[in-house]
Amino acid sequence: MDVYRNFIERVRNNPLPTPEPEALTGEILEAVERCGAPVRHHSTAIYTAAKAGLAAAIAAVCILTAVTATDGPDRHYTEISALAQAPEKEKTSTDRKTAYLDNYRKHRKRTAMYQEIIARSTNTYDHENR
Amino acid sequence: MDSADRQKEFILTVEKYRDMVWRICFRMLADREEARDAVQETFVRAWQTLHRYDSRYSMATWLGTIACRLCIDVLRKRRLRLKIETETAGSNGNTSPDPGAYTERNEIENLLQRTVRALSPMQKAVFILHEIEQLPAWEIQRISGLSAVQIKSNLYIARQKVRKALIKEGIQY
Repeated sequence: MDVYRNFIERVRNNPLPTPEPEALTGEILEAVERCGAPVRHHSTAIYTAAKAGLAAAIAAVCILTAVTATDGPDRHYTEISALAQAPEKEKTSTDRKTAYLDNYRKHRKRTAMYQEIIARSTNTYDHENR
Repeated sequence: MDSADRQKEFILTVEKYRDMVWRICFRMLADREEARDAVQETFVRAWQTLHRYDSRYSMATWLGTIACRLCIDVLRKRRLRLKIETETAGSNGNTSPDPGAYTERNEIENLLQRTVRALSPMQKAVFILHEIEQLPAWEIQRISGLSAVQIKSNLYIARQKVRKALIKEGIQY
């Protein structure tokens, strides 16, 4: 057997380290559906949010990353992570809305679509927590 | 089927094909974080376009198609980014992603990444799907969108390049 074939055989038989389970849960699927827009997301941020069990935060991640998509996916990554990691009790509905809107205002390219997504999300959040 | 049932069923699909999608993404991108993102993006896209899934074909082929095209896009963007960075920084052009960046990868995976570095995104896709994943030609045709002749020629070039790279590495098995 030549070097090439031997190499291919070795690669095929080589176990590839498997990743930790991806956080693609029903909650995230729901959030993706709820946003209803081209979702740009960062797996780590979503994973963090999922671990914290914050449905609204997951939706926020999807929304914020959707908002930031045009300027680069990592633009608001730190803020998104911070929002997702903050303990639930420290966040009020107003905090969340402010966080969404602050991020939204900071952004240069705002479109009617994104505005609609944010409005829809905050309404849903209010409805859920009423 | 209601929404919760659909979600449950889809999550089972994710579990079943996660490793396969991971292998394709990781071997194509050679970057753990990018591969993780690509895996998740693959399933999110699949979820969003589930209504377009044609059940005559296997779910593996469909997910492979999404994953492969996503990875090709990432590789093309990466090439463009590297080109721009090289031009602006005036570096020596040796800006390929660091194969050692992923520390969990073992020796053989590192060698694989070094040898496929010179392949174009499409050559890499065909090479990985055919030589490593051992998919049949018709399935690669469907995944890559290439004709049988294009697949053959991409595979031929890829093999030549990998063989050359192996010799250059001084591999003797």
